[in-house]
Parts: sequence; C-alpha cells; structure tokens
Amino acid sequence: MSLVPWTIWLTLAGMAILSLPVWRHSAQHKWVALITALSGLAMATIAFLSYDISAGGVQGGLSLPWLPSLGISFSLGADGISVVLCLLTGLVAVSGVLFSWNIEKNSRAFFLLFLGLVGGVYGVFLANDLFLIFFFYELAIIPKFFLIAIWGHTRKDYAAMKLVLYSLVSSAAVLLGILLLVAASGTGSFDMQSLAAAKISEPVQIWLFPLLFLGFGVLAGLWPFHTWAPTGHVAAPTAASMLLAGVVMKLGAYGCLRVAVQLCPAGAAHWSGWVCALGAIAILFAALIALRQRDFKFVIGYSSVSHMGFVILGLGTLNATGLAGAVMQMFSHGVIAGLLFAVVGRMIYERTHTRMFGELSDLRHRLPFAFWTFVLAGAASMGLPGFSGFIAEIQVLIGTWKSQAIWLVPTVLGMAVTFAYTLQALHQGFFTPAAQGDTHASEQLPSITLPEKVAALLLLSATLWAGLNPEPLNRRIYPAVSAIAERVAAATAPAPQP
Amino acid sequence: MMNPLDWNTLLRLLPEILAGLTLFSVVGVDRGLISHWGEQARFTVSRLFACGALAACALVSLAEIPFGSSVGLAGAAVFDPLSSFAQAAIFLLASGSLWLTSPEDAGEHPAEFFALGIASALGLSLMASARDLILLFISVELSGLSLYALCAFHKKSAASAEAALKYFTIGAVASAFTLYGFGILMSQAGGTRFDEIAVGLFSHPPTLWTLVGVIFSLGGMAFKITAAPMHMAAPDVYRHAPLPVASMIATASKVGAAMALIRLVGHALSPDVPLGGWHAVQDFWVITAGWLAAVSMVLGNLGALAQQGFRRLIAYSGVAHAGYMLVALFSCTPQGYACLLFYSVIYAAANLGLFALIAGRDESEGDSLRRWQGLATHSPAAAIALGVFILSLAGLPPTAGFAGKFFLFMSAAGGALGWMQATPLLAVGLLASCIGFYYYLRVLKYAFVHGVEEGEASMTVRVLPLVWISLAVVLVLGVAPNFLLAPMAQWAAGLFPSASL
Repeated sequence: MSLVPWTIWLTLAGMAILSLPVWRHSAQHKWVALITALSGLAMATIAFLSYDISAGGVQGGLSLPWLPSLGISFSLGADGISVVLCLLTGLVAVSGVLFSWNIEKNSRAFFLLFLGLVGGVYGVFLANDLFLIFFFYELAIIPKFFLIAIWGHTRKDYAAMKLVLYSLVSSAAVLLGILLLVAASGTGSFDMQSLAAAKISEPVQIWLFPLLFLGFGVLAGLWPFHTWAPTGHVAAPTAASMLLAGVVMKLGAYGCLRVAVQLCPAGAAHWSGWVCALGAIAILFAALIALRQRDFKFVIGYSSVSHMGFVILGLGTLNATGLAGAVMQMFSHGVIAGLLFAVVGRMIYERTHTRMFGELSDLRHRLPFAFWTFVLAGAASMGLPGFSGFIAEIQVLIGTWKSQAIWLVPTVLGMAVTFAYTLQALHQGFFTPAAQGDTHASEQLPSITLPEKVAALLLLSATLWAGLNPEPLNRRIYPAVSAIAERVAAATAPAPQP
Repeated sequence: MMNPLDWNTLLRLLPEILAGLTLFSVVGVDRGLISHWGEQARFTVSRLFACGALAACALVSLAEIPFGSSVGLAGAAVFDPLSSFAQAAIFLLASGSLWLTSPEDAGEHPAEFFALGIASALGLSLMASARDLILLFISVELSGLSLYALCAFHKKSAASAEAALKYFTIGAVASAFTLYGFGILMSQAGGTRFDEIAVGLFSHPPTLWTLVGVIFSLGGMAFKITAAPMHMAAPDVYRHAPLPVASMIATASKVGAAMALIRLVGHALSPDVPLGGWHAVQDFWVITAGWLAAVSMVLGNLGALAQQGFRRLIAYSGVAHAGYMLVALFSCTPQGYACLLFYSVIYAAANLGLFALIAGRDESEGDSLRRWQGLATHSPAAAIALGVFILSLAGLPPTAGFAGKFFLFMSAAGGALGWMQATPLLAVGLLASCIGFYYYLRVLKYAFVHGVEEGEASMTVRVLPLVWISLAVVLVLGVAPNFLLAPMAQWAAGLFPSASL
C-alpha cells in the first residue's frame, strides 16, 4: 500500500471538489481548501511516521507506465529527504490556508491556484522519474504568476512577470540539462534509479553539473540570480509568499541535490568550491542588504535569500553532515520563513496597511500576539539553540569545516549580520513609540483572529519540535544523504588499478 | 507495369474522392438547386454541406488506418496508417476552420468560398500521401493556389488583397525554389519517385548539385510549414485574411506540410537499404533542417515579442513553432518523425481553439491584445480555454504543448547524430522559447489580470463546440500523450525501416 502519492491525489481531489459550482460563498471555499490541505498534511505525516528507517531507500513506491517507448514512467516514491519535505509542504499549506482566511476576492480561484501550487510541489518531492520531476516543477510555475499578479500588491505586475520569467528561463536550462543527461547516460530511460546507476563520463558531468545546478539554483535563490525572490515575495499575497519562500525555493534546492548532485557526482565534486562560495556569499550579501531595508517585508525577503545560502553551502560540502544540514535547513527555513511572512504580511500589513519602518509604531502593545510570534520566529531565524535553525546551521557549519573551511569566514560574518538585522527589525517594527500627534498610532487595530493564531502556533511548534528533538528528522535524512555523499566519494576516488 | 488505378488504390483514395465530389457538388447545389434562396440560407447550407463532408472524409481516413500500407498511382502515392491519420487530422482541422466562417467572410459567393476551402484541404491531404516529387509539387500547388484565392476573399478590403498578394509572392518564390530543388534531385537520382531517389542519390558520392537540390527543396517546403525565411507573409495573412483561411493556414496546412516533410526526408533523402554508415546526403539535409529550425525559432520568437496584435502574434509564434517542429528532423529517427507529427497535431488543436475564440468575439475593435481584456470576468470558461491554449503554445504542463515540445527536443538529443551535435540547436531552441514565455504571459495578463472596462462581451455559441473539442485534445494529450504517441511511433517505425541507424 503506497500512501505517499495520496498527498497528490487528495490535493487534486480537493481542487476538483472546490471547482464544483455548488460552493457559492468564500467561507465554503476556505473550508474545502482547509480540509484538502489538512488531509494532505495528514497523509504526509503518516508517510513520515511510517517510513521504515531500517529499510531506508525509496519507499511507498508507485510506478505506472506512462510513455514506455520513451522510457518515461509515472513513478512516485519517497526517501528520507522526500518525507521530510512533504511534511514541510503539508505544514505550510495548512497554515497558508489559515492565514488566507481573509481572502474574499475570487476566493475559489485563489484556493484553486494555491492548491495547484501545493500539488505541484508534492509532485516534485515525490517524483521518481526525471521527466515527472520536470513536469511537476513546471506545473508549479504558472499558479505563482496568477497568485501574485491578481492578489498581490506593491508592483505586482512587475514582480509576477519577473518571478515567472526567472523560473521559466532557469527551467529551460534544467530541461537542456535533463535531455543531455539522459542522452549522455545512454540508458534511454528517465528513471532516477537507472540514471543513478548509469556511467556518465567525468568531462560530461563537469559541464552538465553547472547547467543543472544553476538551473535549479535560480529557484533556490542562488546568488547572484536571487533578485526575483525579494520582489516576488514582497508582492505576493501572504499565503503565496509563505509557499514561495517556504516550499517553492526548496524545489530548487531539492532539484540541485536530487538531480545535479546525485546524478552528476563527479561534476559536483569538481565544482564544490564554487558552490560553497556562492552559498557563503549569499549568506553575507543578502544579510547586509536586509540590514538596509526600510520595508519590513523586504527584510524578510532578503533574509530568505540569506538562509537559502546555508542550503547551497551545505550542498557544496558534499559530505553527509553538510548535506543533512542543507536538508534540515530546507525544513527549518520553510517553517520559519512562512511564519515571518505571516507576521509581516498578514498580521501587520493587513491591519496597519503599511510595512515601512517609521510608520509602524508601538506594535508591541497594539499587536502583542504578532510581537511574540516575531520574537520566537526571529530567534529561530537567528539560529538560537532550541529552534530548528540551530540544528540545521550547526550541521552545515560542521560540514563546511570538514570540507571547505575557508568559506566559514563570510558565513559566520553573515550570521552576525543576521542577528543585527533581526534585532533591528524587531526594534523598528515593534518598539518604536508613536510620534507626537500621530493619530493613527493610537488607533485600535483589529485583534489577531483565531485562524491566524492556530496557524502561527502550528508553525512555531514545528520549529520547536525540530529544534528540541531533531532525531526523527535526522534519522530519516541521514541515510538518504549519506548515500549521495558516498556516490560523490566513489566518483572522485581514483579508479582501482586492474 | 503496375495498374495506376486498381481497386485498392480507389478504396484508399476514397477520402480524396469524396472531397473532390463535395468540391463540385457544393457549387452545383448552390448554383442549381438553391440559387433562388436568400443569401443567408445559401450560406448556411453551403457551410453545413462543406463541413459535414469534410468531417465525413476525416472519418473515412480514420477508418482506413487499420488497412496497413500500400502503394498506388503507379508508385506516386503511399497509403499507410501515418498518412491516413494525418489526412484525418487535416480534414478535421479544415472542417473546423471552415465552421468558423461567418457570412461576412464568405460574402456573396458562399459556395465558392467553401469549394476553395475543400480544394485546399484536398491538396493538403494529397501532400500527406505523396511519394513522388511530381505529385508532391502538384498537391502543394493545389492547396497553395486555393489558399491564395481565399486570402483575397474579402473583396472590399484592401488589406485582405494586400495580404493575398504578399502570400502569393512569397508562395511563388517558394514554389520556384521547390521546383528547382526537385528538378536537381531528380537529375541527380534519375527518378522522381521517392524510392528511386533513395536508391539513386545514395548509389554515388554526392555532388555540389545534390546539396543545392536539398537546400532548395527543403527551403521551398519551409513555406508550407511557415518556417523562416519563407515566413514573411504570415503576419499579414493571419491578420487580414478571412479568419477561417488564417485558421486553415495555421492548422491543417502545418499538419500536411509536416507529413510531407517527414516523407521527403525520411524516405527520399534517407538510404533505402542500411548503408552501415552515415552518408553525406543525410548531412546535407540534417544541417539544412537544423539551420531552418534555428532561424525560425529565433526570428519567430523575436518577431512575436514586438507584436501588439493578437493574430500577428499568433503568426510569429507559428513561425517559432515551425522551428520547434523542424528540430525533430534533426533526429533522423522514426521516433523523431512521430514526435514531429504529434506536435503538429497538438499545435494545430491549440491554434484551432484560439481561432475559434477569436471568431467567437466581436472583432470590430481591431486586432489588439486588448481584445481579451476582462475575459476572465465576463466569460470565465472561455478565459480558462484561452489560458490552456496559450500554456500549450508556451509549452507548460499539464497541456499537450509541454509533452510535445519535450519530445521534440528529446528526439533531437537522442537522435542519430548524437547528443553532442544536437546541443547547440537545443540550446538555441530553449533560449528562443524563453523569449516566447514573455509574450504568452502578456496575453494571459490581459485575459486574467486586467479588469473589464465596460460592457458585456459574449461568445458566439457556434464556436463553442470547437473550443471544447480542442480543449479536450490539448488537455487529454497533455496528461496521457501516449494515447496518440505510441501508435504514431509504431506506424512511423513501420514506414522507414532503414531510417534508424
């Protein structure tokens, strides 16, 4: 009995039910979307819990012939990395629906696109066939455009177009890489296992790897191709920012790991220094930019790029510790970024209608729930012990120390700047007293609603759970990333003399 | 000596014979039986008759698929499942395009309009089964001449006449190229039948003349599939020709040209018996096709980028798509040829849907992209259909365009030349298609994001069945491409036993 694919089926079923004309009120649309997201989360949780750690490998498989003549099958399955990321997707999807409880305009279309995006993301994480990965990867692009262009704000036309063009252009690089990879492997099959088993010569891997890694990396906010991310996240409606920063950026990182590193291990070994450099630069560079932002949401947007730098850095280490840290950071940042965007985009902006520092005053007293949520999420974002960010970043740092220690310098500087901009945002956003004669400042703001509280607590408990008890996550992640690290080690080991 | 018209040939020519009979009877009925009726009634009868008969031809062609393959007309024509399928598609697309005709399009001579439409469908259908340079040329001309006349059918519109003149001029140049190329091929190979050429060309080392013949033949044929550099008339034709004519050129014509090209390169320009190696003649046409593809993809996408009019945009995107299709020729494998035909069919389905949507709305405000403004607000179903067709052209899932484009590029990467040689072409194609995303997104933005200004715009009910059928084709083949691709690959594999090296 394969349970994992049910995350996709249930999301699709929810979309079908949502498009029935019997639902006339936005409240009904929300409940259908919430139940769909919850059932997806339930399936992801069951898949996570029932994953057999001792057996390892890809489990819960499903393989149907799709295009047998072209070596393409509809093949789904989850390994330790996939179950963790599916769990993340479920969490962010549920809290995204809850944070969208105030959507009234075209709510049916909004939730259809939202669920379409979620379904595409589940698909990428679960696909076990290169064609299918690319299919779902592209499927997730179009909903983003509409979610931002229709429901967004702040230069939404520009941001939507920029984000989608970045995604599409980078996916063209991915497509070229995939086609050449399959052709060069000589297997005539898109199945991940047979591609992993194929021998691709080292020079070919060395120039295929950048194509695939950069192609996927754009979606992961890889510096210097990250600029779509802050503008896109800022312009998107809250639920879409949460999904974008929370899981869509992970699609790119997942592709880097699953396709680029796993299928081109020799290429990865060749370029690992460059990958680490890009990751470390992103951590410091984006953190410095975040320090200078006046718009609260841009701070969060750049902090996302900075945190994704840890994922890239972890991928560049190519050892099990660093790779596990990268996967853990995907989970951790997915939860934390969702939370931060929810605080700024939903709790604050929807009430004060501004996100500019200087116009936000005394929110500590006016929105205490938002304040405490931000304090905790900010602490998690800075990587304080007890939160998931700590577990993730410490592993990345150890992994880097083992392989490319030089890049720890900008990384640690970047972490210091992270403290600075988080505390500065906390201060300017919540502690600034009202200016003299500012009538807005004394206005009573609508209090935080129940759906917002439930969603915030869900995400907070996720980051605390992963931070205080990382074992369940690590025990699933480690075997999977160790296998990849061993592939890299085997690819770089000198060939045994006959 | 083979009898040119035996019973089997007559049976396999049944769709063409039916179409030919309809051609004359449409005019006959109009002139003889109902000439005293009102103009509107005559128009309705002619349209029903023509579209019904073409749909019947399509059904007969489909029914002939299980009959296997045979050669007829003294070896000039081949009847096989792939041709029968292409013919069915051509007749269906022609029937659908003609169904979009409005009384204004046909003017005061409705029967002539439909008769010309049928004549061009007949020519395209013969193109799909031509196995001889002479028959191929005649069928190209039959469809071409009818389309030139149809382009100018808006007799009172100077723009329509201008479009027709441009189309005719470029078409005449292309015909001259084709004829010269065919002539050289014939002189080099010592025959006009494809099997003779396949033996003759490969029995001796190629000369410079062979190269010229190949380039001229393919360059001329590029006109029928609107590939660059024979694309210059397309924007005007798409914009100013009567809508059903533009639709015919964008849909049926592409399928016919795709099938003719497949047969020309796969049969005539590939060795009849495996040579155990690569022959320079193959180099000639593979490289020519690669250049045509690259130039079409780049020029088409760049051209579309600058367009403000929707029909002109579709015209340039059609040039780009012709380029994508030619990429599959680079593979030189039956699998690649099947992917090419598959793509031409789904491309045509999406385009037919788009033209049906255009026909369904008042066009009095001109051709601007603005015509779609607010579509999502007042007719959401039509907006979703438009979105799906545009996504299919852009090559995004879950539409057939995604699968089709993937297969085109994949077949080139896995082709006979090897993936290293295909890499530059693939890179150019993918870069060019990135340009395409921008203008497709612009269309979606008008339809979904920009609000309505004023008024209610409704869709004409007549076009809706076509929209839904095209939508179903594009979505079903997007999710289950194997449904069509597997049989096509099987048919193609049977056709060119020696093509796989």
